[in-house]
Amino acid sequence: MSALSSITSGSTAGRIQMKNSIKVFRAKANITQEQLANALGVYRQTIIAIEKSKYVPSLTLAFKIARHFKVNVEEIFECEDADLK
Amino acid sequence: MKQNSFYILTGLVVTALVGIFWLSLEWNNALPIQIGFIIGVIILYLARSRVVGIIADERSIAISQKAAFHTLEILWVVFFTFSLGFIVWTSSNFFGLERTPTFRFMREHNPTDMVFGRPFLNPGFIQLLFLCMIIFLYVGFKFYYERKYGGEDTDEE
Repeated sequence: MSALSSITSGSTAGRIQMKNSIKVFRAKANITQEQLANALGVYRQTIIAIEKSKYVPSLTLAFKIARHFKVNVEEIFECEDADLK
Repeated sequence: MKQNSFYILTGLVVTALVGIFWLSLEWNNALPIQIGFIIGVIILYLARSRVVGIIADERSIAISQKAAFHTLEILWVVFFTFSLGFIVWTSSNFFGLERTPTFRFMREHNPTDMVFGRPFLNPGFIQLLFLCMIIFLYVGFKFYYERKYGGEDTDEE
């Protein structure tokens, strides 16, 4: 259900744009999309989709990503106030 | 079990089922293919649960859910439309109306049409047609949502 709701928010994403800086953190950590995907237990396509802001991950995956880079979720994912209205 | 082994097993099960289906036709007995199909599905289900590695992640599950939901929506409308027509076509007598030709009427007046000439009038074929439609619709929706939610496998920069 959480996965469905997250993709639903992605589908209405003409309005909601969850920006993220996974690419930057990945570059800093010097790891590939494949390596990150394997570490998180998801497909590489999922990482690609999240990086391109085409798919909004579930809270669980967002926290996994943040913990992988040892930062807070807000440091990776950014949602502007206007997007929440 | 590795994913490739699972795909090989799937191929073997499908091949076996085609053979059993032919035997069922030859023996004029539906039970072998019906029981065989259920056993085949159980075997594949058990085998799938033993596949190691990632077989689905949250995005792929969400895409499958969306594709399945829209497939069901379309199928429901098509199937209901067909069923309404079929009821009118076959059950007018039941409702005390004798305006439309029934299967019984067709069987009595032109039996070859029912048995050989128009096998697609057979409800079994029509239901198989709907099942094939489910597969095409589902795969189509899967492709659509894969593209929509950024599934394209681009090279890493």
